[in-house]
Amino acid sequence: MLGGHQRACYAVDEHGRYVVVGSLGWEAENIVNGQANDEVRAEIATALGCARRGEVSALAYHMARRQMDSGMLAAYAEISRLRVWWHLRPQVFRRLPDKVLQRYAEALQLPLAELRTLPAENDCERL
Amino acid sequence: MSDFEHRHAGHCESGTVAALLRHQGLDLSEPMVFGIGGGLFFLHLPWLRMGGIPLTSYRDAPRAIIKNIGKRFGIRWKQHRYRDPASGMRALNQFVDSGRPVGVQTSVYWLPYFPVEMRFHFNGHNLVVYGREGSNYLISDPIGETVVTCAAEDLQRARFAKGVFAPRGLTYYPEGVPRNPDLRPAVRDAIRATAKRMVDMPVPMFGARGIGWMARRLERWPEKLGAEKARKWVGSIVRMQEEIGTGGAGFRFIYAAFLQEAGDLLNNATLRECATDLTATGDRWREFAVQGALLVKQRQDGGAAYTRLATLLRECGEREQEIFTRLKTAV
Repeated sequence: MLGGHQRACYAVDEHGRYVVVGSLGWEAENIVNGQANDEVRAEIATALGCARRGEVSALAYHMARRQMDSGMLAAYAEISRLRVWWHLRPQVFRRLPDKVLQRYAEALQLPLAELRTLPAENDCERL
Repeated sequence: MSDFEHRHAGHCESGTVAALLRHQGLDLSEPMVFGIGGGLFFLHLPWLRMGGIPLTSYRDAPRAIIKNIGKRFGIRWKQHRYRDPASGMRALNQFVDSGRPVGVQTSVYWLPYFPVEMRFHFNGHNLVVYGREGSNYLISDPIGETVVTCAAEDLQRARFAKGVFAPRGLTYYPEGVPRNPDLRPAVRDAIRATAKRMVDMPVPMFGARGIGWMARRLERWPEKLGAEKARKWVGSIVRMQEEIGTGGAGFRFIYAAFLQEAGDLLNNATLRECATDLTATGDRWREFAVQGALLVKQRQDGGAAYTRLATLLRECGEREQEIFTRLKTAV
């Protein structure tokens, strides 16, 4: 889970003194972190499904892929929440000018061309 | 600038503060910084939600350690925030080029050296920037085992992340760091203040009482929220306790390490006893984490599993109530 990295933990040595020990993560921590990551994947999968069925725009999928909600995306793109909400509609999003799309592309750190499309595979991984 | 000494720390804020003070000649252990900074606390606020999950915290508010260390040692923190990211990066360049390591507040989401599975939109991460090479910054992230480098555009994005606790480029460094201060008054003051906050809060959501208060609510989660959401909320408490840079058991171990050091410094037997007792309480917190994780993994949705968790929590709350009541008059 920590990708082989160690985190510093405080533990008592055989003399009862506190020392810093490296921990590769223990089971309880891995389970709950796995749960949080599964949650993210489930949200991406839901957004992707809705976008494929044309219920929401591709923007909703890319937003979920960056673990953002519309409020956070609005803050990053400096576009009002109401407009972001409006742009989550497929018909509206399709007609957006490049100028607006560019702001979303920068906020989400994606190439502009990718922003309009959905992945070919059912890609639910983030980043 | 390559003479910056990196040390692996349990918690980002105490690690960053300890590193910055050490660089200016005041060498304190991380537990000492955490303890004098009054880092330990507990609160559970069901009304304050992040991503739909109630806020549970095992520590004081972000930046409390910085503030308290300043107050107890008479250190002035120079703090700068920037409206414009470009000027924030220019200012950072000036600091590191003049040989001054600085602490910065960042979002972990945009830091590429973090493992992907750890990258969430959390804006309260602290780290030290101590130099640069070409377009890369040299970073001493207290959570990491070694120093790392980070590209300028990634660091800029992390420093100017948006949302809750937006860092707005916050950069800070201490001024007027005393060389050999008398630690004893600072330690006494800090222990008294933390103990008071843990046991004397007039509202039930805070301090040792807050733990029992959360236990009572947690017991009702499966019927109130439904099985899936209740599991998610339990998982979030365990994550706050074990995963988000706490040094283990929701900062209880690092605080016990502080009490141990303080006990030696003040030659105070009560502090040493309290350190041992807090370690034992930390072990009970770990048991809570184990049981909570098991509930998540095996989808134990019956009320019995939640009652078991609540019982453990109440025990932790009672033990901490007792420990911090003793600490209030120990120094």
